[in-house]
Amino acid sequence: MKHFISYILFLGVLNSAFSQTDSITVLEEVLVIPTKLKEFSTGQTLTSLQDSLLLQNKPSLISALNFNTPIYFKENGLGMVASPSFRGTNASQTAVLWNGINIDSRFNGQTDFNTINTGSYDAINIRGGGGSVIYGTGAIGGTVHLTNEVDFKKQFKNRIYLSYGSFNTYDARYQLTAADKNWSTKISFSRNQSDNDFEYIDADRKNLNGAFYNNSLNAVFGYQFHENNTLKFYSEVFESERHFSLIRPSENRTKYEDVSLKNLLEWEVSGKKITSIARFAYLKEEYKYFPNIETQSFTFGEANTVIGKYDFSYQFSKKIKLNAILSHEYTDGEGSSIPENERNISSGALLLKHLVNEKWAYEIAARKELTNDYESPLLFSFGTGYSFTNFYKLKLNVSKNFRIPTYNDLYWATGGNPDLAAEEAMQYELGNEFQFSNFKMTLTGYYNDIQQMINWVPGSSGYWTPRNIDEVATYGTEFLLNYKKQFGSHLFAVNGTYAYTVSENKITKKQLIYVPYHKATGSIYYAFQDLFIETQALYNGEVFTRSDNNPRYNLDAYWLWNAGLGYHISKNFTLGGKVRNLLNSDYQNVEDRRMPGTNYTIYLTLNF
Amino acid sequence: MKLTKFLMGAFIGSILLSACSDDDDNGIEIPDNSIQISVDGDDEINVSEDVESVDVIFNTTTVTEENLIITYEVSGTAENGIDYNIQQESTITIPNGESSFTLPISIIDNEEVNEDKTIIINLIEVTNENFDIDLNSNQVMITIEDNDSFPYENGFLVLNEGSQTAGTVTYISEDLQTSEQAIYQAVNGSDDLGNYVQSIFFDGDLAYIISNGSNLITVVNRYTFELVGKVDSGLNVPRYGVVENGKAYVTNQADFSTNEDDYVAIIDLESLVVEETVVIGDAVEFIEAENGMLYIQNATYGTGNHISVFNPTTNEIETTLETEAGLDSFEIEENAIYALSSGALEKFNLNTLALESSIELNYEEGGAHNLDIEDNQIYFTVSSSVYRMEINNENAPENTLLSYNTTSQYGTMYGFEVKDDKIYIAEGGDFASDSFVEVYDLQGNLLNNITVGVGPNGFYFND
Repeated sequence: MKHFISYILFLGVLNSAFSQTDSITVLEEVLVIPTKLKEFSTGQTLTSLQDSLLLQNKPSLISALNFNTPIYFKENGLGMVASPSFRGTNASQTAVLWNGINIDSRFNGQTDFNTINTGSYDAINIRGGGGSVIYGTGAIGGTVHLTNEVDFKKQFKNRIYLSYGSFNTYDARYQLTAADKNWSTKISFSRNQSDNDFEYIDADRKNLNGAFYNNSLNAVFGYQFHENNTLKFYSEVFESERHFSLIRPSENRTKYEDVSLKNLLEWEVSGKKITSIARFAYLKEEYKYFPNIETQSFTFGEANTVIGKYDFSYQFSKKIKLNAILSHEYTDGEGSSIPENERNISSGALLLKHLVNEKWAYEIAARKELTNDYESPLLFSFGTGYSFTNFYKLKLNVSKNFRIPTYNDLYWATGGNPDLAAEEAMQYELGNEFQFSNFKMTLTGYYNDIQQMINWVPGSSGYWTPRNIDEVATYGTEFLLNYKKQFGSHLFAVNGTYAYTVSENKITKKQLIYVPYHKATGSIYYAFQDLFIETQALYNGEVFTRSDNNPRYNLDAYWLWNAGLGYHISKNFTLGGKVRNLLNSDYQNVEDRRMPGTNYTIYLTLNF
Repeated sequence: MKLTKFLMGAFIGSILLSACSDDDDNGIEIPDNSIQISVDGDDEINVSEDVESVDVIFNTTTVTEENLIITYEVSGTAENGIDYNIQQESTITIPNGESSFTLPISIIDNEEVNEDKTIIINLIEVTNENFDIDLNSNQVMITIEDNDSFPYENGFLVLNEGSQTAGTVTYISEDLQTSEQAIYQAVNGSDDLGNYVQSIFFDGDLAYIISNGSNLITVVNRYTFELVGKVDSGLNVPRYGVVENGKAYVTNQADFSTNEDDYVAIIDLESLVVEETVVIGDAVEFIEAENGMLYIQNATYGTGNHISVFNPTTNEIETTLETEAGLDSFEIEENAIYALSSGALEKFNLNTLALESSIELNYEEGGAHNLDIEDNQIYFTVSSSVYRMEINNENAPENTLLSYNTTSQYGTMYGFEVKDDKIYIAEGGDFASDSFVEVYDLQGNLLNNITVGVGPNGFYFND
């Protein structure tokens, strides 16, 4: 908390300098997608969740993505540790990028999707498949891009979103946007808290010790010296405390505290043919785990990471672009079970994009890392897309990606294995994109061959140790559908996703646990004049919970269904409500972790 | 166990008795004009509950022209109408011209587990004054042996500690041919035993199942596994327990980061409430009771080298003995404490706690674990092998008794027990799926490999 207050004070000083203007500009919705992602995704498929959609979901990243993407999530009880399985991969094989910077924990290589408050972002972009050449470690199953926009358009806007729901749950988000031709600032603050003490369905018990809160403060500043010379600064502090839910009342009450700090300074200079972007980032992650809240004792981890990145592109012609990225990352981390260790990783990547003609484009790229800590392979990617007709496009992408050993893997005392190599994943993807005016459908098939996967196994001398032993093949299909139609004062939008996923341990021939063969989501949004209704559905297939796939222990498939109603009372004021889990499904996402039945939220949005 | 002993006793008794009565028959003459009673040619018989019927024969030595009306009395622990049915209540008639009468007793086969019951029939008198009751053959006793047993009585239990999910108990029959998984859940519905079930201790018919991940002791009938009660407060990472004088003493590790707060919880077995906690100030693990004292191992996870002697009347540590480093396990046998460390087997006098002998154990495969003394043989394991030595041998065994195949180094010999003429090995496996146990004879021959639950860590015998 101390960090947080000092940070607010710090930003308060900066902020006052920019709040002089009061003009209001109404912008039409524009997709916010980072340039690099837009340019170098040839042969792959992007999904973009804009902030209007983010407001319709609970603030945690898991809620935003679970109902709108094919990514499967494993959540250790509502609001507790949540990890993704993207295209059948494990929790450390999805890279989460914050404004282009990989923020997966240096300790475990994962992002806990309940420790990201989406209230701070303008968009979240999701790309399935490999991306290690640009985005580094963990970009195997796919990448999730948390994006803030810097917009040099004269405006002054405030937005307040307040919601209250079952289990004494508050969600408050405030955003200030102020900009002019040559400067821009955006400050967001989000707080989410809940007693999280829902009653179990058909049982005389409730969720115990599940309360949590988190605060997220995000600031973005931009200054344009002139059109081709821009300085941007992104900063975020996130602080949360979660009590971890008990399965049985007699268990020790535990809690977990997270603090993370993310800063990025970006200086972009561009000319006719060249673009030069220098980035400097400082990340801090810190956690404390209290195994028994009645005592003061805790375990902790703390890592500071400094990243310097230089990104240079040269446009040979309108059609050919060459891009070189050099980067260096320095991390200093330690924890209760990890002696202090410094780690240096240098990398160089070269990317080429060629728009052959209006129909055909391809890109080719490679990356190599240098470090003393582990063996790192040469990475590459090749992607191409060809538009056969104006409504059909065929896409192909082949890439080699990796996941580096983490601090825990290498240095955990005792058990850490300093001889680990990076996990390597060879990936093939074929996508079909169909587009008619308001209708877009993508059907993608992929095959992912993951070698020397790191797995903690019961080792000798009485402790667990990570080894590069697993070989996993993940393959399947992804289906995405969007439809949007406006006629008169009616607006109608439909989104759907379906994923068929096989994630097979090649040695045992068994499906990995907690990877469903089937997952589907759907949402319908309908607005008439000032009234709108929305509904969301999620189908989560049966999952294995035992490595031998013994069906006796499977978790059942479940359906979740949400519905909401809203009304724009005036141009600036919206009131609405939402019912979640309408079917009152008694479901478990993780074995023995009961989830809530039907629950309610009301909210209001104020724009001024 | 008790039941079997009783049956054995009854059986042997009946042989002896019948042998005696044979002698009597041979030695004593049957008087003329007398009435005898017998069952299956003898005066005692043991029948199974499902025998349907038993014929009691009333004999006369002399056939006469008139009916012989004989009065008899039925006694014993069995009850008419519940355990058996007799047509005639208290008299029978040997018709004129006949030499015997057969009284059928139908035996009722119930489904309940009960003690063996007896039907005793005594001849009281006979109506014809020329006849007498033969005093050497005036009584028969029928013992009805119960053919029912509790579902988990004749076999052993494997405790599976579980991993991400609750632990379970597997029941395996004595003949190793049948097994049943998760018997607690099967009997008690949706309830479970908690996470990381560490051990079981017993008191009479009750089993106390300790879950260290959920601070829980679940009390069940050891033969039926029906829930009796729970100890659900006052525990903090409980490990092992023992019963002494109507109270349970359970070791608790509390905070993992320190041994300072490790304690023994004293539980009243009537109320299942933790009455008192005694901080030991050192690691606590196994606990055993012997001659009114409790012996507590102050070593966990291969670290530590003490055994404390705890006096349950004062709740204080009286003395502490020091072993070699890396104390793994200990056992009290024949007035001595045998302590197994990773590199030594030591013997201490139980009374003086003086070190009596020490044998160095030096094996390439690793340290020694899992001390078990059975029938004057000492057993221990090293990696995936079992070693055995005579209890008084002064040298460490060189050759393995047996080795088994394992892919899990951490889970190797996760549970080990020698009982009577069998060796029991539990394989921890990958702790993410059902694993197995193996049972060997004392020559090291594999008798069976049986699938159990996740992370099997111990064996408990119910026969």
